[in-house]
Amino acid sequence: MAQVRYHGHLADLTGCRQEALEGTTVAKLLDQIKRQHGAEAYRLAKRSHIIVDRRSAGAEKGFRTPAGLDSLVEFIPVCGGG
Amino acid sequence: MELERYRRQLNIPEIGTEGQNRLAASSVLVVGAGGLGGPVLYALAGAGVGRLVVMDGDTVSLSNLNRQFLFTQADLGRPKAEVAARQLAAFNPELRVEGQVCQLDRENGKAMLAGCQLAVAAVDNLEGRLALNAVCVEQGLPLVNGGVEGWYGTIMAVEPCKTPCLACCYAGTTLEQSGEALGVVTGAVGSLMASVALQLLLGENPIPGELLLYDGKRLELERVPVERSPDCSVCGT
Ligand SMILES: [Zn+2]
Repeated sequence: MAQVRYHGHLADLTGCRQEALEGTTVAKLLDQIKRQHGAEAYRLAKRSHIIVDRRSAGAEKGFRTPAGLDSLVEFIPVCGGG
Repeated sequence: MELERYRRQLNIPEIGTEGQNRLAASSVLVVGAGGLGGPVLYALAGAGVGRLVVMDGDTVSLSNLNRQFLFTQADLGRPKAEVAARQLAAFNPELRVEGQVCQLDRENGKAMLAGCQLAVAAVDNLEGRLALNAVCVEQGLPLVNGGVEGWYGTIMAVEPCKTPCLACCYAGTTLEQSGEALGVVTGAVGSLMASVALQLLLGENPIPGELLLYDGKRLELERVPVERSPDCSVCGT
């Protein structure tokens, strides 16, 4: 079980700030989010800034980035406006 | 330097006369003079940063005025960089303020950074941030990045080859612009960016290797640790 932390509006959509989810990759965690919290939460999670164990998933293997049993996965809103 | 202007901050131990002189001798490039750039520029000008280079290729439009408090209704249609420079020079005449009416890219970035000790990314797009990041890493200059999305904002301080750069952090991320922007959020995030910038100029990084997330709805600040990516295309070894 990876520990998953939700930030911003995703915490409203999932109704929690942190939970443990089954999944060995970011893609599998996203599937769990869809199953447990619905399509809107899934869409927002998928386009979040995803950090797995302190490293940006985008700079690793994207959605194929592994998430271990003790991993901490953060979903952060992408803030690019000014 | 007119010390009376800075009397209320000279007693702050981290500033003092030495820090004030350091700020007066500093030059900062601020890219973007909008919702984030406004509060950043006012705070740096008020604190006495000696030279500010304001870079923005846009003109003032009515939909900017909910959050871009450097401008007034009379400025509609005028170049933001010019109006900002004029406004800041009136606000603190001791400073040198240069307005550059253009967008930053990899070509002009080096010239814009000439003589600067720090850059601030306050633009409204990811491409501009990444372009400034690449130039700062190449030049070995620290960069303060801030961005907003609706109620939320993030801030990072990049010290090249020491902390993660923006490419380490944002590689593979796509930005879906919702266009949501609120003055109370840009004001708070811009002030946090300016605080990070001032502390870097004074020799301290308050958020090394951390992404600072501002939640303007819950009124919370969170620090998320981020590491450098060894394969980063910009700062990787
Ligand atoms: Zn990097």
